[in-house]
Amino acid sequence: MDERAHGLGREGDYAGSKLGMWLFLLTEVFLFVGPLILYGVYRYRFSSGFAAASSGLSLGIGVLNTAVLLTSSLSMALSIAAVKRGKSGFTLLFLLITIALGSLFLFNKYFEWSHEIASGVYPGGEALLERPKGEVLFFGLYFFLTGLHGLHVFAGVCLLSVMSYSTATGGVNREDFVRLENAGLYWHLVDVVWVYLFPLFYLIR
Amino acid sequence: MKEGMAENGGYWTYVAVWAALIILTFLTAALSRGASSRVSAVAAPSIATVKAALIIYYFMNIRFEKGVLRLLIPLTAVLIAILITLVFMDVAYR
Repeated sequence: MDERAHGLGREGDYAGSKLGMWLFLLTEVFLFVGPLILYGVYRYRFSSGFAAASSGLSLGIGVLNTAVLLTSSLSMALSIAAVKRGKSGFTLLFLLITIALGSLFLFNKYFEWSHEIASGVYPGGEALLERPKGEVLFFGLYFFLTGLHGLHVFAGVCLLSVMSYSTATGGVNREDFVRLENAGLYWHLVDVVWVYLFPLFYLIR
Repeated sequence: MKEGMAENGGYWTYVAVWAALIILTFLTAALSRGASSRVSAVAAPSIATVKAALIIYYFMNIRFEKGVLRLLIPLTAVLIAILITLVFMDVAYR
């Protein structure tokens, strides 16, 4: 590759912007770790209520959404592998697949939440407040954490839409793709968070 | 060209990792219904950690990184472990 196109300044930018992204992602990790510790303490104190509440969630939708998000991570990784090979057509295609899968995840989540809210299960909902305390705490954490995660998925979809535009117009290319790589790191982090949320909410016995 | 910038994973490596992630998802779901609650309570977070490690190492391409980036993740894991241990010591023995 042309040495002049990758002068020292450019290389420094590349390493620096990736390090910056990782540092940001680690602060994001702690944003989720805080409420998850709260979850751990309440699950320890109200284990039967948590198990009862968890059995009310649909395992099928949980597994489906996990598979959807994992597949979106695959297409994200493939998109970056393609841009490094200079195949911008594939890069764009895989990005659009990632966006579609992310939107499908949000769509499923919308149906799941609608179903729960319609049956009175939401923070402060009358039907929920009549249930044991452990179940009320479970659903409080469930709506907070899946909601916070959903916002991250939405932000990721917006970010990847901008990246698609940049890829289509040539702003992201074989020589300059760190923005796409950083957007990909963000997307994978959102996936990692879900990898923990899924068993913690859907799989308690 | 800086190290790490040129390195690239093969398409099929990513597909293989994805297949492993999907298998682990079904495994953890099956264990939660099949195994005892005690087994499941240990297996579910352990499998999640294996899945997270696969995503970080392969999808996030930590395998191509060197130096400080490689250290950041274990460092964060240790910090989280300390945080969890201290909180649970307080909760369990109060």
